[in-house]
Amino acid sequence: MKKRSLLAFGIVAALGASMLAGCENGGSGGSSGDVIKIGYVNPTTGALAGNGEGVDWLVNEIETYVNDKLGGIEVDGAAKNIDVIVYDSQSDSNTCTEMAQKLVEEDNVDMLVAIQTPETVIPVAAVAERFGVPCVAIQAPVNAVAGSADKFEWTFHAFWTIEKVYEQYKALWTAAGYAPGSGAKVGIAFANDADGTAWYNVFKEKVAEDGYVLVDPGQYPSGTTDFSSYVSKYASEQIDILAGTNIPPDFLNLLKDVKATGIKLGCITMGKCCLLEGDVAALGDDAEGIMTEVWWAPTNTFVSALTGVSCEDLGAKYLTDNGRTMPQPAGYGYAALELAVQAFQAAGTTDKEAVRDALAKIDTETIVGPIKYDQTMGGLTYSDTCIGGGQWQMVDGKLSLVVIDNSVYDVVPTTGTYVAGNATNR
Amino acid sequence: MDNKPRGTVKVFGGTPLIIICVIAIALLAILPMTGVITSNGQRYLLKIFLYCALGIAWNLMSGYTGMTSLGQQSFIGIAGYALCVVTTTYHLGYAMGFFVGAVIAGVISLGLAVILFRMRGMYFAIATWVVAEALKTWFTSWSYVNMGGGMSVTVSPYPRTGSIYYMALVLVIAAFIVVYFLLKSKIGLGLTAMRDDADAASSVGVNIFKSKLLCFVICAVITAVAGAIFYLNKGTIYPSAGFDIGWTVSIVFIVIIGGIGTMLGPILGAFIYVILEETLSHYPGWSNIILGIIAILVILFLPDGIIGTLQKKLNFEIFSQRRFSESKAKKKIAAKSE
Repeated sequence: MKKRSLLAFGIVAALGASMLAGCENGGSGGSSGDVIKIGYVNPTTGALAGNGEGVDWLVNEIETYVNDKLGGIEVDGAAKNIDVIVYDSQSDSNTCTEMAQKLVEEDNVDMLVAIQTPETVIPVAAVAERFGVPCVAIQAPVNAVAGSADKFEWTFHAFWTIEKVYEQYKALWTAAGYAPGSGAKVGIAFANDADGTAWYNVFKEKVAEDGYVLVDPGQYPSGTTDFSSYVSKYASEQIDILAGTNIPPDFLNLLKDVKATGIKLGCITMGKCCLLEGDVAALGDDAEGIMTEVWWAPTNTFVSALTGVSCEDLGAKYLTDNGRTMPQPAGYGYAALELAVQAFQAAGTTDKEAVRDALAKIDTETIVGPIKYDQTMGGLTYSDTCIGGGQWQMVDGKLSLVVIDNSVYDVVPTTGTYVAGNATNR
Repeated sequence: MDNKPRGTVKVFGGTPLIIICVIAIALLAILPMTGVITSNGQRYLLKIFLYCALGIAWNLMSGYTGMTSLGQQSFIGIAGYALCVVTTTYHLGYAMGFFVGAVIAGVISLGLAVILFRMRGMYFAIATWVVAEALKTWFTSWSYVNMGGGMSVTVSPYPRTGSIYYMALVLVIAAFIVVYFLLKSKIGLGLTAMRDDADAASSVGVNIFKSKLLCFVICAVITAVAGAIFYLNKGTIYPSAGFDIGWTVSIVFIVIIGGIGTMLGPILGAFIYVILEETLSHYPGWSNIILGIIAILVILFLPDGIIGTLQKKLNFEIFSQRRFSESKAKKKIAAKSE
C-alpha cells in the first residue's frame, strides 16, 4: 500500500521537476545568445522516414564546416557558431506544428527549416509566418505550398513545380516509346493527400492536352491496402502507362494488385515512393525498369558556393561514412542549411527582419543547383530547382538509379539510356 | 461496540477547496501578465489545459457513464475544419469558428446517438472509431475542404500564444465546472448507476437514453471547442491529422495514468502527458515506445491511476461526487449511539 502511494507521489514529483526545467529553457530570453540557432523539423520516423534519412550526417557536415573551418559566422560584431536543432516530426503534420512551435518558443531559434513533403513543409511554414521567423522551405512541390496560404512574408521556398515534373514524366514516357500525340493510355494513381492532389490537378489537365488518353479511376485515400477497383479500371481500359506519386506502402500494394491482375504495362513512372534505394529495395526485382524524377544525384555538376564541395565529393563522402548511396532528400537538406548559413552571413546579424531580407536576396549555387528567389506563385516567393529523369536499372547486380533524360534541365548530366526492365511486361 | 467509523473516506471539499481553486485560477490568470509564466510556459500550459478538457470530457463518458468512446477525434476534426472553413472560406473571426464547430459537433453527436446508443461496451467503442474513420475518408475526398490537401486558419492578426492560453484556461475551467455539477446532480447519480448496472438503473427509474444523450452531447461540445482551440494554435489541419486515432490514444493515456473516474485524474494525466511528450521529443523514435512502457507499468502497478491509487490508499477524495463525508458519518454514528 505504502509502496504504491510512494510510487504515485514519486511520479508526480519527478514530472513537476521536469516541467519546471522545461519551462526554464524557454524563459532564457528572446535572443539566441552565443550561437546562431537553426531549427530543423525532420521526418526521422514514420511513413516518410526514408526521406528523412541522413539528417544527422548532413547537419554534422555543415556544423563542422561552419564552426570548425570558418570559425563561425560574423554576426552583430562577433563570430558565432551555428547550432542546428533537429526534432522528429514523426511524419505527422500535428507533430510538425508542435515541434516548430517548440523550436520557436523554447529553443528561440533564429531560423526554421521546413523540408520534405507538403504535409511536413506547410505546418512548419505556417508557424514561421505566425511567429515571424525566417524560414527556408525546400523539397515540396511549389504548387502545394503556394496553395496553402494567401501570402508568405517569412517563408522562401525552393523546389520544382508540378508543371515541370509533368514535362519530365512526358519525356520519360517518350523514352519508353509513348510520345505525345501517340494516343497512349495513361492510368494515373494519386492519393488524395496534399501532394497527390497537387499532382492530380496538373496531370489530369495536361495528359489529355498532349494527346494521351487519360484513365482516371479517381484519387484514393492514402493508406489504401486494396487497389482492386482501381486496377480493374486500368485493366478494362488496357492502359499503356501507369503514372503517379505515392508513399511506398501504397505503391507496394498497388503494384501487387497490378501484377495479380496481369495487366501488360509498357511504362511506369512514379514519384515519392521510387526515389530511394531503401524504398525501391522493398519492391524487389519488380522495381527494375520503373522510372521516376531525379531531383539530385551525385553525378550532378553543381558545386556548393558555401563549402566548395561538389555533388560527386559529397555523395562519395556519404557513401564512405554511411555505407549507402546518398539519398536525394539529403542533398536538399544540405542545400537548406547552406541557404540558412548564407542568409546569416549576408545579414551580418541575427535580427529576424534583416535575415529575412538577406534570404530574399540570395543568389547562389548550392549542392542542388542555383537558388534565386525570383519567382512567385500566389503569395509564395520561390526558386525553381533542377530535375532530371531517372530509371532503376540493374548495375553490377544492384538496383541503381540511372539518369536517362535531361530534356527539362540540360545541366543535369545523363548517366545512361532507357532500358526495358521487369517493371513493365509488354 | 466500536463506534469508530471504519472505511470512511475523508472528503476534501467545501469552502477551503473553493478558496484554493480560486487562488490557483487567479494565479494562472495573472502570472502570464506579469511575465512569471513565460510565453513558452504558456505554450506548455495551454496544451495541458486542452488535453485536460479532452480528458475531463472522455472521463465523464467512460469513467462515470461507462460509454468508452474511441472516436473523440471525430469532434476534434470537425471543429478544426469548421474553424478553417469559417476563417478561410467565409473570412469570419475565429470565435465564430469555435461556435460553428461546437454547434456542428453537438448536432452530429445528436444524430450519432440514435445509432451508437443501440450498442454497448466494446461494440460502442468500435462503432465510435468507425465513425471517425468514415469522417476521415469523407473529408479526404471532399473538395469543399480541399480534400486531403488540408486547410489553414486565416486570421489577421493571428492571436498570440498568450491569447490562446486564456481561451484554453477558460475552456478547462468551464469543462470542469459543467462536469462536476452534472455529476453532483441527480442526473450524475443516474449516470454512475447506469455505469455500474444499466438494467438495474433503468428499473429504478433512470432514463438511460436521456442521460446518455446529455452526457454524449456535452462531451462532444467540450471536445469540439478544445479541438478548435488546438487548431487555432496549430494553424493547419489535414484529415489524416484531424481525425487521427492518436488523439483518442492520448486522451485514454491521460485519463488512465491520472485515474479514471476521478475529477483530478485527467488534470494530472494531462500534466504528465505533455511533460513526457515535450521531454521525449529529444529522443526521436523512442518517444512512443517510452510512452507505451509507462502506460503498461502504470496499468500494472497503479491500476486505478495515480490519483485513484492515492485516493484509495490514503482514504481521501477531492471533488468527490460521494454524497457523504467522514464528518457526516461521525455525526450519524454519534446520533445512533445516543
